[in-house]
Amino acid sequence: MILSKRFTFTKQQLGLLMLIAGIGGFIAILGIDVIDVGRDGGIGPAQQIALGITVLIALVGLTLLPISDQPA
Amino acid sequence: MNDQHSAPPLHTTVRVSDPALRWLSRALLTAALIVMIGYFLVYLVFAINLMHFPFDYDQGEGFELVDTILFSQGQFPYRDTNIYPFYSSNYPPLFHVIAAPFVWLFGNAYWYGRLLGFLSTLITAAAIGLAVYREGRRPTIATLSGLAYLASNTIYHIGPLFRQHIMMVMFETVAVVLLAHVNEIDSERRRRWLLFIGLAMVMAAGYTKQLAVATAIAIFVFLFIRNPRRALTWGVGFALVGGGVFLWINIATQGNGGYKPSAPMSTNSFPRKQWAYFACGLAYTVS
Repeated sequence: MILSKRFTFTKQQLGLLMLIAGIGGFIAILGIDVIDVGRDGGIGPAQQIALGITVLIALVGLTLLPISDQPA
Repeated sequence: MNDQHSAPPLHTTVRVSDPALRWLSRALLTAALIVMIGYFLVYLVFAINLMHFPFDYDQGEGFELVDTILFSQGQFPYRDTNIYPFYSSNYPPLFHVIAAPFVWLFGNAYWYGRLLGFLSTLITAAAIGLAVYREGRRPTIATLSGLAYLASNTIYHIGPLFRQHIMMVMFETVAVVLLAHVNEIDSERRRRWLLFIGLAMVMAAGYTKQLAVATAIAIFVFLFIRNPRRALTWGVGFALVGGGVFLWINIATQGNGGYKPSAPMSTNSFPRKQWAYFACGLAYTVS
């Protein structure tokens, strides 16, 4: 279906993808410190910026969820 | 799942009905237009003056000229930095290849590279104006949008230089303008042509400067959201052509075109004489 000639994502589907990507990214970035135990400095500035971006992606995704029938 | 082809119209036009407001709107737009034309004239004079300036004005212009000269001689600038003249370029070739015929005609000079940069900014401004006009059908707003790009400090600073960055921006902008509504075109033949030209512009941007990778990613994400099948099909072709050109350059330059990183000077031994010069320089600086 996704590979049909006329398929296009809806805003809701895009929102869901962004929400999943945002939450997944947030966990993955925090996971760096869990996996790489013993790193000095805790959550660094680049990680903080990346965490902020993932939160933003998730929030934008949330705003798209109620719009179900419009193409993205 | 949404199995539809056309997106709703993206623009709405707001008409001002009150005569006083309409007059105010026109007066403000005219004032803005005068200011932007003023900025453009300053930019034009600066660009012409810079084209007459015979020496490098930006630290990178000399490298760009050397790359162009090498291409005009049928040579690649991607060389081994361990061998004399210890020169290698880390920029893709398109800008220099476009400038190379000027070397044949006019010799070694900076003006034609600056002219190419300046013309690129004009084409970008026209593309921006066209895109804005297409969405709103307001010629004054479209003109202002194009002029606003030229009035930017960054464009004023780097637009008329012998640097490839601004040509990359031109290719990127034209690509985005061409591809923005490509999925809404019903005629398959026309859609394919526009996709081909638009993606060729992305490729040209990438082979002008590597920074275009961000635009390429954004464009393919956009195409994927609108039609995954089309994005994947064209994406495979794009990757094959782009990768093929890269491999060809890499093989033709014995790995100096990309895979083999330029060997930094620090990997060579530091001669004793050089240490002596370094010590003298340090002592002089301290004293």
